Amino acid sequence: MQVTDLRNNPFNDPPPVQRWGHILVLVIGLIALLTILNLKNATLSRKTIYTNIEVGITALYPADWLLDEPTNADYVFRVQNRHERGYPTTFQIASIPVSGDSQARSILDLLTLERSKTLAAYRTLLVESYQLTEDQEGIRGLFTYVETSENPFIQAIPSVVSGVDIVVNVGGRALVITFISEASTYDENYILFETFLEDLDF
Amino acid sequence: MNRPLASYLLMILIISLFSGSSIVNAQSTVLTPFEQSLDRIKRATVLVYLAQETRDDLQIVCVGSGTLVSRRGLILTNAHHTVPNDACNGDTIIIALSLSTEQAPIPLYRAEVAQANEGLDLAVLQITQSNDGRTVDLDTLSLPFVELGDSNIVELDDTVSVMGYINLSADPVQLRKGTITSFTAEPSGGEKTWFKTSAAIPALMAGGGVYNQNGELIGIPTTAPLTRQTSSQTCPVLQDTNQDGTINERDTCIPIGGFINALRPSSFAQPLVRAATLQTTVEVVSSPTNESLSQFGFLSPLATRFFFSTAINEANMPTNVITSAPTGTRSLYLFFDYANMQPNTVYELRVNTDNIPNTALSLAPVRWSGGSSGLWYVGTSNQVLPNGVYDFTLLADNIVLGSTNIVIGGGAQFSPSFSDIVFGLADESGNPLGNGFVLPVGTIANARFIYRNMQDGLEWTARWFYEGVEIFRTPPDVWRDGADGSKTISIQDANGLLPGKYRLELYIMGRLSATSDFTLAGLADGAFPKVFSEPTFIGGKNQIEALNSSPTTNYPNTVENLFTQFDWNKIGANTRWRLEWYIDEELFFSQNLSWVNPENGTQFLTRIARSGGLLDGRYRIDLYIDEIRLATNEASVGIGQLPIDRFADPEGLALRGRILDASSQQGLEGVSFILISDQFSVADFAWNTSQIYDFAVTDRNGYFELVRPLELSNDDVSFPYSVLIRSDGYIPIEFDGFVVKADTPNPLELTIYLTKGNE
Repeated sequence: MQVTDLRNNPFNDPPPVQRWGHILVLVIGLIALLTILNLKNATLSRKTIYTNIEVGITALYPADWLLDEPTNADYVFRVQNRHERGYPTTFQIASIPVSGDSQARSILDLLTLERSKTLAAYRTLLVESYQLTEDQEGIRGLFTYVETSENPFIQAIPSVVSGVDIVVNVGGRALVITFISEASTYDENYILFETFLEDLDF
Repeated sequence: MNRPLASYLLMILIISLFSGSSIVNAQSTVLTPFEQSLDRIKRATVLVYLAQETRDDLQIVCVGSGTLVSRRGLILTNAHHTVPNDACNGDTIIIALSLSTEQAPIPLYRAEVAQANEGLDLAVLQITQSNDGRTVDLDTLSLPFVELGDSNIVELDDTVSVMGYINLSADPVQLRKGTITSFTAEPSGGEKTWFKTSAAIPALMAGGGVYNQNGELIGIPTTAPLTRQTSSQTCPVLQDTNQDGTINERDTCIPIGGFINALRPSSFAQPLVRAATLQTTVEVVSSPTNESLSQFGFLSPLATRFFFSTAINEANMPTNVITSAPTGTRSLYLFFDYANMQPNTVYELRVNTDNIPNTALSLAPVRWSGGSSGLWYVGTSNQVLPNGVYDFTLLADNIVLGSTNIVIGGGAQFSPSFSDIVFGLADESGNPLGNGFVLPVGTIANARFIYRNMQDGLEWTARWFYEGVEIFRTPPDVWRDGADGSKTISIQDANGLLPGKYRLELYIMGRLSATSDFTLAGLADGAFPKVFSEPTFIGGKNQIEALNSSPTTNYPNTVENLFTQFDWNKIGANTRWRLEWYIDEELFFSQNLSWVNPENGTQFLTRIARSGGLLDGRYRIDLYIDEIRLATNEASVGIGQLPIDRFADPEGLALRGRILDASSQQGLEGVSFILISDQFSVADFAWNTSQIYDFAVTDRNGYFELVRPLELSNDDVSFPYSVLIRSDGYIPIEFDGFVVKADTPNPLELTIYLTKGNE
């Protein structure tokens, strides 16, 4: 058996020029990383304004998210992040006419009943009061379900999604602001939703 | 690599794929329209199970094929295996689709009957639930479907393709090719009530689709299995129904019938599909008794008075009566009176020519579509019938109702004959006036007929019947009017003739030579009957509210109920009449009824209804007796025109493919493929769904497919789509000018590689 002592190996002690080279590479890498992060943040922070005079809402949503303003659906506004893979993170606003004594809670219950018919394994996880703004209190419901593709001809694996409904009564109607995200990326996407809520004006 | 360069190179890759496709295509023959549609047709063909749900099991009781006719899950099929009946007594409809054209179908959905006509043996199903019990959101459902073609333009020798499932094993959807060999005529649909084909169609294909060369559905293979028998090829055993642990002949089998030779033209299905699409119901408020609910339901079917004719008139009456026909005869109709028939009565006509089965004239067991009683015919036209002795045997529920025969051959005989009877009120010259077959109630009814080759001195007789009972017979008389011409005779009653159904039979030397039915109904308006007043349209949530409303002809599309009302005069009990509803000139409801109300009356109500409001359009109601339209009116709802469904056209190119990671060659899951409308370029795209033609998301293996077919460009019109594929962590692909043409392979399958990197 032969034992080689590497402690005195000259390669363990690079010359000054090479050392500076290593430092330079690290610095450049760091700058590149910061630039990328900055670009990503800049991209994420780019926003598009949405205004609906009829419903009376103004919102800022991430640029390049897909906007849907249907005329015959149960929501008036929906944006989805179609860049991400998996279930697209979704912000949605519905406007439901209500009578004066309608409770936000009953709106949530109706949503639960309706969604339970069409969504697999739909469950409400939590219902609690929620302070949307200083003078606007509502109710918040957390839910989860299994999203399945409606196209039977592709082999899409169902994915677990989680979401939040925030219901506030505004005049003679209830606004239902909904956030839905793939469960595995829920927390990081919820930050975007909080920003969306901060910018929302109604 | 910077983004523009990467995009450019990837675009070249994509374009090279298309170019490659084009080269392949250039070397092969150009696909016919049917071949272009074949993949879509196969995908749209479903297997339909009717099952009985027990406490812990689902027991299949009947099965057949079906075809998706809308992206929202409407399925056209037969009624005998979907609408519960004695032979198929189930409560749950299960829909199975082949997820690949090479695979056996897999149960995926539950459905309900949206529209059905048991006599015509047609049903339109609506998918309502996924197999796990969830309600299907029809707005998000985008299933492949086929378009109904015009079956009235089908001709003899046309090539047809029949699609359906042939057995209950692992076979995928099957195609059978053949030609149209003959047409069978019946009163319910005229000359093209049935198509006959040379294709050998297994029984399980019943309810599937028959396609023309353009890939349009022009018929439905139809047979009515008789009864549940012991296990055999026509009644296979699927389940251990007696739960003895073994699947064998002691278990209940599923009746599927024998081979099919009759195709029901799609024109019969159009109103049902339209009504199901509109989601509009029609209710006869004042007369809920449907003629199909026979009052003779407990009696056995009867058929009497068999005779032949070579032609029929506009009222479905025989123009003559023959006992033999010359060589070269091209039309032949067997007439008979029937009674006690039901929509689920299975009838069959067996024809032998010189003791050899004649498949062109025979009709395999099918459902009955003629109501409970009346005069019926089965025949054929526009094809030369070979010389021979033709034996006809009519069966109902596998029991012989009667037989007759006729000889075809030899030269034309110029024997004395009567023909072409029409009825009316006589003018000053004695010629009958009116519509020919529905006369106002009065003291007289005239009949004019044509006579040929008569000889003075021949004995002839006229017999008049009212509701099947002979009420007047001219005593045998000798002919005095010469050889050829027309003659008018009449029946009179100073006390007034009763409203109802009449028949005239004319005999020469004791032989029936001509016969026809007619109806007396309504007040006299000149020579025409005033049976119904002009229908008026009234709104209201219910019958009482409607009757207190004022009629108008314009309604907003928020109206959920629209009533029509009309008054009536002198309609005899059990007089057959028909109610039809049209929207934008397209029939969506037709129902034959027997009159069950008093002879005179007012405010007969019908109602059309749709939850959420009637669709925009022009709605028209027509009222008929004996194929004669006696009243009509129309009203508009909304803008007076049906909204355009941009997804309604199934024609075009199917686009699908696979998106892979360029380095690992692995399929990428969850990537969006966005096809931007031809009105916009990528630069114009503002990430708004209104700018998107269609989009898809890849599955776990990277496969995607667009549901909406792409429109084909040609020399005159171009549809330059734009493509956008973006996924976090990959360099996006985006380009304009994506054009597909008739010679582009259909479906077009793309393989797209994404390269890792950031925008």
